[in-house]
Amino acid sequence: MDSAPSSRRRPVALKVLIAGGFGVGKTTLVSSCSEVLPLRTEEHITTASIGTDDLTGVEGKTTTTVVMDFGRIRINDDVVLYLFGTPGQERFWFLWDELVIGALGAVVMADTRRLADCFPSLDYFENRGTPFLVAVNCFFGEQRHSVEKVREALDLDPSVPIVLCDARDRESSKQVLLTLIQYVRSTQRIPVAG
Amino acid sequence: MGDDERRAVGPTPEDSAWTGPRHRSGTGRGRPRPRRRRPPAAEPVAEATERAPEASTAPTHDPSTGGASTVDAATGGAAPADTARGATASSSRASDETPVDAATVEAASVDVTTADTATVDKAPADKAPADKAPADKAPADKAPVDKAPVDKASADTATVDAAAAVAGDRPGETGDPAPPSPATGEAPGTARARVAPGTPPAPRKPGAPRVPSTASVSPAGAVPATTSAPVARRTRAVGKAAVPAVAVPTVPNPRVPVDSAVPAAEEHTWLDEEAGPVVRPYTLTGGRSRPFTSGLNMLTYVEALYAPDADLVGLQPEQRAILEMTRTATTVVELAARLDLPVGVVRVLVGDLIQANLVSTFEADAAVRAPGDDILQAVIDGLRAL
Repeated sequence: MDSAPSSRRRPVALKVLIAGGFGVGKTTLVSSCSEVLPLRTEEHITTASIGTDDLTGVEGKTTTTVVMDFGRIRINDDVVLYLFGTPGQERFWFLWDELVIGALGAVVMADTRRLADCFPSLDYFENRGTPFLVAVNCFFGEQRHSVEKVREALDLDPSVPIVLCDARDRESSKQVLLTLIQYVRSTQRIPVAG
Repeated sequence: MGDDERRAVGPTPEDSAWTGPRHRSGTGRGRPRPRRRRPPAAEPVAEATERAPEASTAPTHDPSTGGASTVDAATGGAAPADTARGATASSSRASDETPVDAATVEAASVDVTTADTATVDKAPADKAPADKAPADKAPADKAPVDKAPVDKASADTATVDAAAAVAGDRPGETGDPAPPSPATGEAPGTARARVAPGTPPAPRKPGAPRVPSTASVSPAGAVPATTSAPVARRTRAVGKAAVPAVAVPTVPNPRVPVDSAVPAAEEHTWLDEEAGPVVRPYTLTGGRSRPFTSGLNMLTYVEALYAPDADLVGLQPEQRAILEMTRTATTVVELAARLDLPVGVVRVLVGDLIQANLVSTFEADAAVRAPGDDILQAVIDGLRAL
């Protein structure tokens, strides 16, 4: 397909997914560390949206448009990091199926006040084998629970990093992404070492 | 870098005026924009206020034509705006065609007869046939008088006639939307013209059937005078109204009519983000939701095979924008974000461009295989440097 190696280096596009429950701060995280572009996408309406999307009178409608966060961090001339804020609503999760292919990793954001909101995201990435970390968004600097308690509550693999962050803070958000990349790098090294 | 790119690309969707208003429905519509249809309607209203006294004087002048005016007043509810418009029409006619004045006034007076008789016929059916008859005849008699010896037609009679014209235009044009004078053929036209720019519907509907007979009385020579003036006015008004609709579809593209809805959308301030796009996304693709080619990933890079002599005539503005953006390889998802179009639509549009041999695509390396350690290190360094 793209066999002939051009003299110019091919650009590298890296995908990072930002997941989590509704209102957990995904948009804030994306916008704090990159420029955010509104991204419209659409998918076929599934049974999941029946009862939610009113299709009365438009029974022939088979797709629905979803707006999601889309951030971009240009690392250098060749490498671009794309951030996709996945839709929080469960009914749009089928959107992830394309996104998760070739994704570098995922950030699952958690709010300790509503910790259960992130359970489905964790399950999803665990099932897909996508490397992910958990970023606990400390709203208003509040840290209600220790990292160990959160890890226990989420029943996470010990290797999965948990990061406390403030999604509004650029440095904090950067740190989340840095941790993720380093984690991905470490997971990739293991098979090489083994 | 990102900013540069944004700047470089920003203008295309903005300039093209297609994508902006249509898809970014919230951006352009927040500010109040005058409806295009308003002006033609608003002007006459303004004139109506100006000419209101004139219109109000009309009945006072009318007595010259007999009981008809009182009947007019009785049937009363005629829209003042329309009467004023009639006044403006007559006045403009007068100003435009000073020498023909006699003819127009005459025609107006004829109108009066028709209108008045119509109203008279309708309202007091049995009351004053005697009055009616002289009233009919009087203007008819007056008309030739105006015509032949212009000297006789003094300023007073002229004003009276003009007023009569006002009174006459009113019922004739507003009241009879359907068939006031098939014989002459001008009245339906005027009626339609008035209705077309969105005049308030006339509340009064005098019985039309009698009118043709009186209209037939009208001298043939007078008819063109009246017709010519309203026709000119009508075309102007219609032209105004039609311009926004007609302006766009100069491109020989079957899908362009869809795009021509954009200016219409701009008119409506009630359309906003909530209302969704005016043009459903897949109308851009002709209803196709699957691209011509498969394998267009979100992160597939698209690069223009720039051919300066390429035939771009059949391309849609969005596709031109894509060609512009992909002078440097750009991902599908970024095209979608910048065009503010759903990813699936961009896929179809890009598929068309591939088919036309205008762009090439390639997969980002990361999508093919896991990024190497050097790339990850570069990302880490890059993030730290942010």
